[in-house]
Amino acid sequence: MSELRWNPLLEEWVITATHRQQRTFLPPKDYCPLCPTREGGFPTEVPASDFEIVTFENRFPSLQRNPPEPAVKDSGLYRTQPARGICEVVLYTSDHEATLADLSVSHLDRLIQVWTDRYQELGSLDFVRYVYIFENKGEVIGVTLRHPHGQIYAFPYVPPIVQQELNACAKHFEHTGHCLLCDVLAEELRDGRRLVCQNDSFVAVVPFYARWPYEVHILPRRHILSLDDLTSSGRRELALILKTVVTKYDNLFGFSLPYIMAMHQQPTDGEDHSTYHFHIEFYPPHRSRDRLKYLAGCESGAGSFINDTLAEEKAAELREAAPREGEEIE
Amino acid sequence: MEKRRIIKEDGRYLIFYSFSPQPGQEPAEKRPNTRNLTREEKPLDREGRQCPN
Repeated sequence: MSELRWNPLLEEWVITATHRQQRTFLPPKDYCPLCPTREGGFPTEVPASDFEIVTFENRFPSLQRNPPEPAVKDSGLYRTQPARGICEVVLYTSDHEATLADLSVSHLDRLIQVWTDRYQELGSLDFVRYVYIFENKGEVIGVTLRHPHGQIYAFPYVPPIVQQELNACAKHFEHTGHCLLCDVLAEELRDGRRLVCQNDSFVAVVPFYARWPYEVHILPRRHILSLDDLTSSGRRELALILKTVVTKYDNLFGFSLPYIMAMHQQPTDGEDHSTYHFHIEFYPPHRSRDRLKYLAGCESGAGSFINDTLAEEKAAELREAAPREGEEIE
Repeated sequence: MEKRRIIKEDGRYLIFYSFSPQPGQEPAEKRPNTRNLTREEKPLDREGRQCPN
């Protein structure tokens, strides 16, 4: 059973998806459903003995192409809608042990091509207003399958955080005539203390307003709205900076750092979003090597984040983590 | 970039993306293992549930 329920107090949709309770939970490596189907082995999600990159519809989707009618009738105050959309899983590689940091820059370039293709294809569907590409990495994030993979939710609405960003960008443009994130980027480059790494096309920073200690945002220098606007050289530089950021994360404490990666692109609802600015956000839950930050009373109940650290100090730590500026990666 | 879309038994699609064949090998997606296990044969996860597929 899945449906959308409207929260009139927060003015946002909640997705109920009760069938997801049954999803596979941390199976042993030999029974990973995201590995290729080995000869003589059990059939996995991928009916091939090897693959480069694969995407498929999630077996336990929160949003469905043909969703059932809501279980509870719309009462006026309590609005419901079928949970129509598409949920995909993107398998980064056939290598069960790899992480994003282990993939070569060339492979990451290919992965970005796949993300771009999914953004275009899913975004062209008439019931899809927003294509959200993300990755949950690590069991502390709630990952239920360890094989390196990300997810894509093709939403029938623009999700609230993105809508809030769209509103702020439009408002800033109205007041200043500038793109908000172009101005943020200029401020970060001018200040310099929160820079993590950069190349000709992208800049990675712990933003001034970071909510998580090691939060990193990757911003394109050029004002682009989505992956669709990337040139081939821009895509290569995105692959390079992604590899640099996740490798720094893994070298920070000497273990593969869990994180949420969230890709924020313009909606695909046919509206004008030219004041928006594509970017990628990383939220690692660690606040130190062996301490996690939890979304507790203030964050969950009041919606106000408390960051126990200074963005300037955390950016310096990340700058020092290998690969440092000038060090080659591939 | 090449895309090959297949429809699984339960109606879900799956897309293979391939970029260049490995030297001396056919692209992996051309060698599908079509053997299907019966429900009873399928392995269990740590909580005793059957793995997907």
